Amino acid sequence: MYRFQHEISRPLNSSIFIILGFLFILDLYAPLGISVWIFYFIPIVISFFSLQPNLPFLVTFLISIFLFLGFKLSPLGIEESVAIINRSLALISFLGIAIVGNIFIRNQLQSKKHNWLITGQNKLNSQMAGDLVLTELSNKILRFLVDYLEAKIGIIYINDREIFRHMSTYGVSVNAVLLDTIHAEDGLIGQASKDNRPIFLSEIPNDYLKIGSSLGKSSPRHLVIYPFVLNNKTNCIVELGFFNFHAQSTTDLLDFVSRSIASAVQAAQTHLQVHELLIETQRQSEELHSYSEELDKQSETLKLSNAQLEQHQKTVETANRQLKEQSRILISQNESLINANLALELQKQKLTQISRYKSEFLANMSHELRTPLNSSIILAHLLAENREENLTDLQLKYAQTIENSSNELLALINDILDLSKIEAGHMTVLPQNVNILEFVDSMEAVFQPMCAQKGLHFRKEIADGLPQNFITDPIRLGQIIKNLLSNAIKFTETGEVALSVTTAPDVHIAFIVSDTGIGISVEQQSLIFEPFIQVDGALNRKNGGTGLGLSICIELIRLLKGKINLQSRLEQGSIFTVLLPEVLDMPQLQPDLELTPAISSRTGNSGLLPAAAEISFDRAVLNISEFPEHPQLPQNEPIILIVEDNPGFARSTLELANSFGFRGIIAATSEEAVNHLHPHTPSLIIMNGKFKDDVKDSLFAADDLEIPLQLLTANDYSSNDLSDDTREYFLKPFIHQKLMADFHRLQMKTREKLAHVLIIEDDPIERTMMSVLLNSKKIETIEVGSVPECLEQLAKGTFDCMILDLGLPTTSGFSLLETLSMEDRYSFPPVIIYTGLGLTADQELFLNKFSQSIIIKGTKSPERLLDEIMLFLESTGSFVADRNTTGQVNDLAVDVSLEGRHLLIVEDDIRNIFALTSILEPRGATIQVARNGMDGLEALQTSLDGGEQSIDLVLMDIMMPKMDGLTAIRKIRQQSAFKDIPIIALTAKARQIDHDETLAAGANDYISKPLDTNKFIPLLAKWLK
Amino acid sequence: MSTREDIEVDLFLEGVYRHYHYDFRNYSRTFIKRRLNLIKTLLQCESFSMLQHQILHDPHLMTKILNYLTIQVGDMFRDPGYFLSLRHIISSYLSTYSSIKVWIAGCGTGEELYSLAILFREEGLESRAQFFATDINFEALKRAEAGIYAVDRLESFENNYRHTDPKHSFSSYYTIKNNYAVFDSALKENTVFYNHSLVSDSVFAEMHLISCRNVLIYFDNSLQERAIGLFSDALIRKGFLGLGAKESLYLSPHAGNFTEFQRKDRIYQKMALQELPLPRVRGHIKL
Repeated sequence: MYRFQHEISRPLNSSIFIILGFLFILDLYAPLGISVWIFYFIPIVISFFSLQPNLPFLVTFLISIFLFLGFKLSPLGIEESVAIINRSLALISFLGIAIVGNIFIRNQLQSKKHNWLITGQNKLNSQMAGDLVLTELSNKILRFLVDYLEAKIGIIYINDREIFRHMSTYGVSVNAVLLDTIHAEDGLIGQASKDNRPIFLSEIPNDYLKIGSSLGKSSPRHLVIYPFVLNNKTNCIVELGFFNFHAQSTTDLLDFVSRSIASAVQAAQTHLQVHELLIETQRQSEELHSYSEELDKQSETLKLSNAQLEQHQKTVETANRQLKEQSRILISQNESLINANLALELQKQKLTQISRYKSEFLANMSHELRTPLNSSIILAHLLAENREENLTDLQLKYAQTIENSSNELLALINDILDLSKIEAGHMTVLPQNVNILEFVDSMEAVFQPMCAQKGLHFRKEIADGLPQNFITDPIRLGQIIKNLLSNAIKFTETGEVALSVTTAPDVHIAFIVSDTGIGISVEQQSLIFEPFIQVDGALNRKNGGTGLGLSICIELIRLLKGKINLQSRLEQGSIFTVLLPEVLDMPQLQPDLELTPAISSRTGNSGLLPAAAEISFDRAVLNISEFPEHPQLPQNEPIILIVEDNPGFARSTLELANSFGFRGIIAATSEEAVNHLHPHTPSLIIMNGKFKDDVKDSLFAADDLEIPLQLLTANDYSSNDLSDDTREYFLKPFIHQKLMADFHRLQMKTREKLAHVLIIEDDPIERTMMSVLLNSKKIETIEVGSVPECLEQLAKGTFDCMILDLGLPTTSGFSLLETLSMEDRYSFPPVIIYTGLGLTADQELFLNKFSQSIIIKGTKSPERLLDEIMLFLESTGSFVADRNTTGQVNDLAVDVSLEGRHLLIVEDDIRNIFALTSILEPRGATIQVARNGMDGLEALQTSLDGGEQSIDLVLMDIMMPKMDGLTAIRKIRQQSAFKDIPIIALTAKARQIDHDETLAAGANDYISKPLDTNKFIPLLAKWLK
Repeated sequence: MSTREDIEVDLFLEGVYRHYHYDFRNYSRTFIKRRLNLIKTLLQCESFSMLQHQILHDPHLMTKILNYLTIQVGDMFRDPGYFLSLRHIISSYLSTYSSIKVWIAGCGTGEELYSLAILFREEGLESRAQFFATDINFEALKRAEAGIYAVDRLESFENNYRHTDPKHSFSSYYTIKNNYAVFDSALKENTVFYNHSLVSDSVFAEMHLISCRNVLIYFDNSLQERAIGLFSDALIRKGFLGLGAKESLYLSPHAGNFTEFQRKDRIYQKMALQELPLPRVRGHIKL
């Protein structure tokens, strides 16, 4: 029951009953038939204005009694049955009116109740308006609730992180014990929050909270605990105590406003949190600021330390520089040392050379000297014979003296010549079997008489255990022993001279010549073997001889690979011991073992070269130009120096050089490499990397000479799996190409006029400039100024390249290109466009079809022109293929015919267009190109309008200017005519997500760049079926 | 032995790659770690694993993080010397080509693109040039396409521009609206903005000039190698490659395909195929 229902309007009720009574009396006095009772409707209608829905029924009930009593008690008027009918009908009508009244009152009540709630809500809202702090808000809420619901006491709790904190109270006694906080599951408050349902209590215990006033305290009789819930969460609980409790209206109101209260509390809480956060943010911002300051400071410090570091670095750099300087000095010292060494070596070589020249000269003199001497000896001899007996004794003596002197002179000359011969290396050695016994006997036969003449004893001695024979050169051996024996006899006055033969260690035979002569002092012992030195000049003069004997001996012994020893004491005698090997080897060359196979395989010889002695000087250096393959190579051809100690490697490289017509020299060591840098400087050095440092450091000093150097390593070669003897080495393909490129470049460089270029340019100044430019690079040019002249030239002959200016008089360059591409009469060399015109995209596409390169005139265009031509000529046409390599046309594995198919390529990049065209056109497809999405759409549209061939398939690039591929595909698919046309997207993207996007846009398939023909062609075939 | 942190970083990058297809796995590890540490602190995550959890469940977070992982620092005409050299290259070398394609790889928010576009316009080659501006960050690409920059950055832009031998007044290239400088939209008329990843995607067209500045420094070696390989493939012979001030081809295996055109500005020129490198011994032969 609402409280206003109880406010029964007494005057209304009384007036109803008064009217009822009045009408009843009137009815009683009126006879039947006079329908006074009809006015009974008035009280019923009046009852409508009360707020009691049952009042109309009550009134109607009273009326029915009055009607019945009136019928019974009224005086008779009309017929009774009619009266009954009338009154019954009236009663039914009244009942109807009462029902209407009931409904009316109910509605009235309902709207009143609603008004009440709305008013309450409005009041509350006006209370809660504005940004209120939580305590303020809760105060206002509580005050409102208590006021509006006529509660006597109230407490409000706010949920603060699952703990309910009491925020404000109303009418609570000051000394009441109140819990500040209540846990979410504690007591009734907790229960209410847990259940999200209000709790009503009527039987309140006496010790419950008291409502306090100055007059006393009292406990409330009814209690409501109501949770306010938002999003299933209780964020506020109100406890209200009543003396008079209207349960329905209270709950209705609380229910009605619960949402707005909960929201308001929530908002206030959020507000609070935002506020807190704001403070936090400010704090953080400050912190950040300080942090930034800190960073600045750090940066400052860093700068400082950086500066220090730089300083330090500078110091280090200085030190470094000093070190470098020192090291440079060291290196230069080292270099000068090496140079000095080299100079010394050279000097030494020179000296040896001179000495050899001298010896050679002397050796050659032999004939010249001896011929006149011999004739003077013979003539003196003839004179001394004095056959005609016409000479005086004195004259005879003179003649004899001349003969003797001449003989001595001859002996002397012979000695000198012998020594020279040996030193000049002209003395040959011929090992033979020598019988020792026979040899000693032959010596005895010669020297025994000489000893006897001088009164000396000659003794021979042959030890046991000697072999009968040994191998040496008997003539040279004889010379040696004779020399020693004659010396011994010469310097011995008394006693004996002996020749004994014994064995010696290391398979040697010792020939010992001893005497009991004057001996040789220790100081002089080292001198006696030197040529032209005589121990005692005076002695010699007495004994004669040249003093060359021992020198000759030593040289001879060296030839026989022997050694000589001397033991001697003054006045006691000397012992010369000659040690000779039992078997004298032929003095053989020992050519470089490693290089021998290489030589033999080239020459077909058995490994020994004829000029063996010379090889021993120039051992491993082979001048390949002497090989029969390239005997006629002219001298001024470039030389390739190959520094490589593996003959197999060297050979494979050399063969490559030869195939280019180059002479090659192989050096197996860095020293040899050095030798071959003069007098003809090689044009290219191909060197095993391991020699690099030697050559670089010691041979090349900074100067202006440049020799291209190509370094190789063992890894650059491969070999076939044959045995070591027959194994061949090959350069690996990459290196092979690299070297080919080098050789090619060298070839270009050495050629006189390397290319013929046709220049088509109408401006004579420009024309001359271009020809001068090209001629400077040894390119031969023919210049023409118009298309007819050009055609004339092209009909006459071929060119390596033509340079075409587009802006020509009468006929343009474009039509010239068209003519050339169609007519076979003219040769069609590769074209470089050289123009001052800006080009449209279409023109560019057209030109790209026929030309290698387009150059727009500008400051750097001559440079680029030259560059392009050189590059083009050097690559000898491979440039043309270059464009096509992306799309291997001759890939038979995927040979699918596209005959009669018309494809639209929507692509911006010329390189890609060429790649695609070169794949598609050879397979019979016709191609239409659009340079962006917009043009692509247009092309499709035109094909639809019947103007062009219909398009079978679209290849769509994604990244294009103006309109990109994805948009274009979407637009194509929007037109019903192109719903089913196959579209293949060309994409540089690799991620699945990108591919999905392409397909989602409407492409049938996609293929990644760069194109793989093996995948691309089957893909095309699939979609062209 | 990898530390727990390393494993976490690996897993994080792998997760990001598998879920969002952003491949940072081959970015410079120290850079990635530094950045992830920053992000970790910002998102108040205790570990990279927690960060991984958050990122995999919150796509919006990925967009944010992407801005941290791709550094969008750009000044117009940054390192004026570089642009001065490019101006020379554009006017002398690139002007001899009938159409010129320029790829700005890792264009970020577009400052470099507009700088180049201005150079091409001033050298009278705007109509012949076609720009490709690519980046992996969609948001950055959008901003690049918009070409709108805060007014307070203009001073620095103009300062740099002044050192590039300018032909016009810098202010003629933009209009000011609400504290923002809106660059002349005609500058980007010949530009295609694309999402392209140097990590996974391939070459899309033949280029005359590639400018890729301060991108390689965030890559590890293998990725740098890949990227430079792409550039090498994309460039025409004698085409130009410009790198950032701290980058060089010095240690790259592709270095042999390039010559140093302007060493101090890190501008390289691709060699023709026939010009394979041949070391030359300079020197006079001594015996």
